[in-house]
Formats: sequence, structure tokens, C-alpha cells
Amino acid sequence: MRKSLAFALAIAITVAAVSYTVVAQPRSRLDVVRARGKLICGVSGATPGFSFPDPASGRMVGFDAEFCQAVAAFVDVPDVEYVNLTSANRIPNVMSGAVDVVFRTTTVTVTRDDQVDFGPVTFYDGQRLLVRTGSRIRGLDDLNGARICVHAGTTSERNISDQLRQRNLRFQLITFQEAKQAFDGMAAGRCDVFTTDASQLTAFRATAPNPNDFQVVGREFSDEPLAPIYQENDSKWADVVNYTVWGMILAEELGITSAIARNPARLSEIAGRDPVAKGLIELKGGAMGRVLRLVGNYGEVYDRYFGPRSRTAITRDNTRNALARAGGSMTSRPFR
Amino acid sequence: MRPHSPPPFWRDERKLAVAVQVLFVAALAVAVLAADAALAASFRRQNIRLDWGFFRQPAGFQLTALTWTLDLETLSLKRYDPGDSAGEAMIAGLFNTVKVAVLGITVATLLGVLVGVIRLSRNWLVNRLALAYVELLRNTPLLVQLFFWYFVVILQLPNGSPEQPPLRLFGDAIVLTNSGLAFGGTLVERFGRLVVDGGFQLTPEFAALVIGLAMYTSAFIAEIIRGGILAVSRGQMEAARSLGLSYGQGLRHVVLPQALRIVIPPLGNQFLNLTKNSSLALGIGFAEFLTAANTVSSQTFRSLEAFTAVTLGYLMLSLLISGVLNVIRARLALPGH
Repeated sequence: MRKSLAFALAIAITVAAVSYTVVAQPRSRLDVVRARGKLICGVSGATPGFSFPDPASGRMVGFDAEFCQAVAAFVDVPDVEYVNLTSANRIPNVMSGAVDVVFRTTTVTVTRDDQVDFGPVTFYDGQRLLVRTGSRIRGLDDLNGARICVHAGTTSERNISDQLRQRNLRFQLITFQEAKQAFDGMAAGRCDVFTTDASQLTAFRATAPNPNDFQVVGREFSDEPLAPIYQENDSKWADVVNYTVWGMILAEELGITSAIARNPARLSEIAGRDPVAKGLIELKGGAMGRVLRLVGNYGEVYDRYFGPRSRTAITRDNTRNALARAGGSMTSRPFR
Repeated sequence: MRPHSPPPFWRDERKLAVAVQVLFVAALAVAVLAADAALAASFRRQNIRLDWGFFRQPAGFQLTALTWTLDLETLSLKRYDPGDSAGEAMIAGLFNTVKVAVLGITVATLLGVLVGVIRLSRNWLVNRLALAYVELLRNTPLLVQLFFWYFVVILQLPNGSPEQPPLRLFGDAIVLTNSGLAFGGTLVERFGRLVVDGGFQLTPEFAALVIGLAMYTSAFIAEIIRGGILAVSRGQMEAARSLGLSYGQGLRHVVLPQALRIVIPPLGNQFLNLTKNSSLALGIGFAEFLTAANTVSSQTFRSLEAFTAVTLGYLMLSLLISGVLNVIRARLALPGH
């Protein structure tokens, strides 16, 4: 009697354990997000210009944060939950499925693409140097013996090491967990140089209490195309993120702003005139319309945080962030 | 009288005990195999492949605190260079963890014993000051304390610019800036700042880590020592006093040796805590074991393998410390204990 009870228990444990592995069926993240009613978006939360809490309301705002809102509007879920991620845990969080999509100034690299998939580039950036005004540093060649503050676990750390070793210069790397801490270390005088993507250098400098004590110098010495990341092998979700970004870029090319998107008469007039605009507006039952009404097109989002009237102004003219037909590299796809 | 027949199988106590143990081992084996199968299936589903060879690939990064490491081929000490392998980078980090642990444990124990004895003083003010020290340090998170020491105290030291000249002692033999405490180096001017070249330098990250860890752990050790002393019966101190020993002598020769036996297990706990808490150096950029592994994992994207190695590393270090403490306890134990 006791023997058969123990035997039955052993079988029950085995069956329970094995069935756990069989039950998990792959579902697209699109269905998961719709069922949840909320998009879980990974951002930095501490990068001026890209994702930071609004000083007045405390809500998460920024270039990256608005793309999260755009994706949520595309799939028609009302809510976005922002998760603050570090550069070390952004990829593991995507791989494990803890977040749906990450907009966190992530450079597209081939080795990262082995583990996650990248969406379209939202910002073309490059690495430069932030130095004290008055130090005689003008470029990489002046950095012999320098102490360099850098954000741990980023391509910036790797690039500066590679560049200085190629030039056979001595240097000391002081790494920090967050880019903001690295800037604080630089401001306190712990190091002579802070290096990361030029957009972040401009943003940190602009939000410092004494911006004129710092200067961004040097030519761009690395190519840093920044793009969103999401889990591999999920084509439906990839389409959602990709077409959100491409749709915003195409809307800027066609001149469809947030104000125009709120005016149904003008929208249908534009759709009647231009078959490409019609494809954009009618995609997936008006998904792009929701996006444009909420955040606007690519140019409007860019101007809100990096436009000439914002504190962290970064010009688009003559850079790769301009539209393709204005000489830059921002392109879309045919919405037919 | 009935003949004495052996009881049936299911009522024989010894056989039942054996059967239960066999069944338990079998159930455990089944559970472990099932968990392993579930893990393998989960890896397959997410296209994760474990690859342990990356430990031999060149590390390609240089962190200030990584100086000495072990050559994995010849097992000899050598200076760390970015061309060395990732495994050797992590070993350099492990050496730093051991340095921090040894120094931290020493300072924490000395401070802790001092504060613990002070807590027993009959002077009301001194007693309450020690109480404030202990309560403040025990009840705030360690990471917050480390940030405090690093960002609020050490980085505010003079930065070597003309407005904040470095603190010099004994000529230039000891120089204090927010880049560290340097012994026997030379001051040179670089990029508008005075920095020290050469000599022996204590980086601010190392100093903040050791100070923060030692003070935090000393608060816990103080309470343990106080408890140990109070656990020794009052009769011992009274007997010492009646023999003519002063309070201090009684403490040193009679009470503390007995208290020591009592406090060694909880003291060992605190030593292990300090060793593992040193991993919080990740927050202030000191390149110890976890920080080096973190950099390796973000450069090579092999986080599962890197952090398994970290877990095993801390496990070995902790078992070593526990082993040493067990030997000490066995040596000090009274016969029969």
C-alpha cells in the first residue's frame, strides 16, 4: 500500500515536470500586449533629451519615451509602463521577455543582433569627447595619460579603448554604472574626459549647472546608429515596431503633422490626392492616425527635444538625421 | 508462547527507514532531471547556447583597478594587459575582491570590537554616541552609504586645479586629491590639473569601498561583540575585580577570551557578508570580481556563463573563509565542546 503510494507520487512529479515544458506555446508579443492592455517599454530614465522624468509632472518624457507612446498607440493599447534599464540589463530583459520593446539609445551592432533584433534607426549618432574648457584637448591624439570617465558596458567604453590603444597612448578608464554618474565624476574633476555619443554629451552639458565649463570636442570617431530592440523570431511584433517608426518618418516626408492628423477633412483630402499617403493613413485600420495624433511625426518628436528652442539642441541640417531627400539618411518604406 | 516470526515488510522499522530513504533519493533525482530537461527546453526555445570558450578570448578592456592577474596557462602572476583573456580579467577582479575583503574584515573587526566595548561603558554620553553610530550604520542601505562616501565625501576632495590644490604632506611624499591618496609619486601637470605619477596609489573607489564596507560591517560586529561580552556571566568580571585586576585588565584577560568563543560563528557570518557585499563596488566603478565579470559579459554577451563563474567564485571564497573560521573555532574550543 505504501509502496504503491510512493510510486504514484514519483509518477505525478515526473508528469508535472514534463508537462510544464510542453504547455508553453509561442504567441506573438502583439497578442500578449493587446491582452495585457499595456505596453511595457524599456528606457533609460536618466538620459537628458532621450528619456527623463518631466520636472513639472514627473511623467517620463523624451525622444525615446515618445517612440514608446507611438508603438502603444499603433497597437491601440491605452497605457505605457516605463521600465528603467541599464546598459547591462537591457538586452537580457528583452531576451527574457520582461519588456516588450526597448528604446534606450542602443547602437546597432552585429554581435547584439545575434541575440535580439533591431528596429529601424531612430537617431544617427557618433562618439565624441567632453572636456573642461581650458584643457588643451582637441581630439583623440591629445589624450596621452588622460583619465577617462565612461559608461560601463557600452560601445563607448570599447571604442575609446580601441582608439587609444591603436594610437599607443596611455590612459586610465574609470567606469560608472550610469552615464549620469560618469558625467558627475567628470564634473567633480575625477577625470579629464567624458566620452559617449555626441547627443548625450550635448544633453548632459546643457543640463549641467555650469554648461560653459565644458566643451564637446573632436571629430566623431565611431558610427553609432541608435535603434529600438525587441525579441527575435517574432515577425508580427517586428512589423509593429518597424512600421511605427517608418510611418512617422513617412508622415514627415508627406508633411502630415499632429494638427493635420486631428482634422479628418484634411486627412481625407490628402489621402485622396496621394496614394502613398492613403496607404499610410489606412494601414491597419488607422493605426498611424492614432500615432500621429498622439506624438506627431518624426520631425515633431525630434524638434520637441532636440529642436533649436530646446535646451538640448542638436541640429539636423547636414547630419544623417535629416530626411533622405534633404541629404540625410532618414528613410521610410513604401506604405502600399 | 508464540514463535518469534519476523514482522512483515511494511511493519519492519529498519526496512521501512531504508525504503523511505531510497524513495526520497529517487524522487529527488527525478525532480533534478525534470528541472534539467525544462531548462534545456527553455534554452532551445530561446535559442540560447552555452559557450564556455569565450573565457579565452582577449578581454579588450582596461579598468583602472585591474593590475595583477594569474596567467591561466602557466599559473604565474603577471600584470594585467587588455590583450589578456577574459578569464584572466575576471581573475584580476577576484584578486581585487580578496584585497578588499582582507582589508575590510581587518578594519571592520578592529572598529567593531572598539565600538562594542564602548557600548558597554558606564559613561552615558560615550555610550549613546556609540549607540548612534551603530543604529545609523545598521539601518541605512549599504549602497547608499557607498554612494555617500564616494560622491559626497571623496569626490569633493581637491581636484588638483589651481583653485583646489592637492593636499601635500611631508613634501610630496603623501598627496591627497580626489583621484586618490598617493605615496611616493611625483606631481606632474596634465590638462590643467596636478596629478600624481608613479608611486603607490590608493584609488578613491577602493578607499570609498573599504571605508563604507568596514564601517557598515563594524556596526553589526559591535553588536555581536557586545552580546558576546554580556553572555559571559557577571561572576567572571566580579571574580577578576576581587582578585585585584582593573576593569580593563579583567576585560582583556578574563572576559574577552571567553566571549571570543561565543562570537566566532556570528562574526564569521559578518565576514562572509562583507566579502559578498564587496560586489556593490559595481555601483562606484571599482573593478572587483563582479564588475570585471559585468564588463566581460556586456562586451561578449555571455552573461549566463560569466555570472555562473561569478557565483562559483564567490562560493569558493566564502567556503574558504568559513573553513578558516571553523579551524579557529576548533582550536579555541574547550575540551568536550
